Amino acid sequence: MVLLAPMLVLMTLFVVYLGRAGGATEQVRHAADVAARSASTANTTRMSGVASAVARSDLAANGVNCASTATAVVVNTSPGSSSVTVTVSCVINQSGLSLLGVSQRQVSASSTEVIDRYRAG
Amino acid sequence: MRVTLDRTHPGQHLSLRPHRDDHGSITGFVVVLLVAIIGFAGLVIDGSRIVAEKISASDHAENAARAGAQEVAQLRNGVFVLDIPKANAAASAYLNAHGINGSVDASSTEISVTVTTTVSTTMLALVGVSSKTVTATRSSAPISH
Repeated sequence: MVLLAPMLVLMTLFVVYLGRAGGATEQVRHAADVAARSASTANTTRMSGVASAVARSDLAANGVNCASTATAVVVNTSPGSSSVTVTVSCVINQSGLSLLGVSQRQVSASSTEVIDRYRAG
Repeated sequence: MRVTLDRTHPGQHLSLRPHRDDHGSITGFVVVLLVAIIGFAGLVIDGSRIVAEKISASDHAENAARAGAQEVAQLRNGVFVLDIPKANAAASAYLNAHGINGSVDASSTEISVTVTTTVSTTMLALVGVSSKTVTATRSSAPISH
């Protein structure tokens, strides 16, 4: 048991890590989604700022699975089908799991939202 | 767990003492625990994968519906009706561009898109669930305000 206990602890930590990784994947997915939607309603010049702010607040509101996050915004203004693409990436939080010794991993998700053709502003 | 009846001491009655070399009992416990932990790991992996896919599917369905809802006809008359063939085509174009399976259903007032994806599972496959189908339906309509 003395020999096996550390292994069991490691296995349990691994399950926790998997939970964090899965949670982080869901969170970036959702953050990219709402950030792109918000950006698509904003003025073209403010899209990038709005997307970053919304993604950050969404990730902050949804928990602790990300240690750090980054947002990239690409606005496509081709006539007829303009869209905004937001890519959110997150470094999985490993606080308390240093015993596992896994390297830092990053998950990312992107969402493309159509910019309304007929809109004010 | 193996418990042997120890008759080595004639003066005593039958005693239920574990045999001296009974090292197997703890290992059996650990094996059970290990199976449980691996089961949990599987549920966590596959569960989060399915949830992430659900979020992704609903996002794509919403985006495709909004892409279709751009095709407003008779705008100059002040009437907000969808150009049904164009709306269907625009939504389908979004789905094709992102490599997604889905169906589009447009009416003159609303377009709704259903996205269907299949998530293949890793650990749940061991208990007979090799894949899970995830669907999401989102609709979009042009409004004036």
